[in-house]
Amino acid sequence: MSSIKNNLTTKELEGWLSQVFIPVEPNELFIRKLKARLLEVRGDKVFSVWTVLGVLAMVLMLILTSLGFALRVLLVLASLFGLIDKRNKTSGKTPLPATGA
Amino acid sequence: MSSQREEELQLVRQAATEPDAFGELYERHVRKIYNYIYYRTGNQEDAEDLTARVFQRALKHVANFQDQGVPFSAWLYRIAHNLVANWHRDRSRRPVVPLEDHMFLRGGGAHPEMETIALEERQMLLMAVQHLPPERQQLLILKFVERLSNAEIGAIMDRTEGAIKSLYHRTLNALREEVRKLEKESSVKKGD
Repeated sequence: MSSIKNNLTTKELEGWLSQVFIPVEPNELFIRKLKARLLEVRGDKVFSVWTVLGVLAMVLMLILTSLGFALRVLLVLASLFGLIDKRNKTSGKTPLPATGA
Repeated sequence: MSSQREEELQLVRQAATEPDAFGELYERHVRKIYNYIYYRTGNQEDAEDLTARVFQRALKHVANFQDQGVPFSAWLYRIAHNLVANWHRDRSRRPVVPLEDHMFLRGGGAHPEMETIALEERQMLLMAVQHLPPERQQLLILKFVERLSNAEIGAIMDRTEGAIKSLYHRTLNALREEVRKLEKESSVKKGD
């Protein structure tokens, strides 16, 4: 074999190169992840419809959450007032309403 | 200008502002660029890292791409070539890089001894190629991995078709010489 290598013709060398230099398939996960990363960067400065919708949805959720929180606070306050009123009634501090009997 | 080239130029112009257009260019060229870098570096990890850098750089400068009569792939190959050159320089100009085992997985035949010989021969050829100057390595990879014509290679390497043909013959002669040297070293080591 070594004598063949020493006397390689152009055709033989080209044949050998064709056998050895074959296309390699890159890792598909790498290809997909790189594309996602690149397009994320490219999309950074683009004002997309989805970005607007996402922001609106978040604002709406914040409003609803705040309303919910406000309602709970009101309920707690109402309960507190109710408790105080009940206590006052049972201790006789407030006159009972006339029944008209 | 061919319609294919016009279509690609249109895509490149759109890629400056539209992610999908750049994504399309990426899909068309990523495997070619990866292959080129893989054979220049000899391992998957560095090939992936440098491929990513090529496209990051392309993304950054695609808006500045000017049609100078060369295909978009030529621009990408030049970026790749420069990054690989920097990579070699940063590795202290080591001319030979570790060649991954799986580059040689395809055996030469049914018999293990023949497979071993085939493996050794492949390794020797790849090592010989890696001893050549960068532009000659580039030429061989574009010719044998990408199967490009001399004209297409010329567009990428910024040379005429005739110059590429001439460089190719000088490259084969230099490669033959490298193979001879490696064969001799291998024989001396084995004590032939």
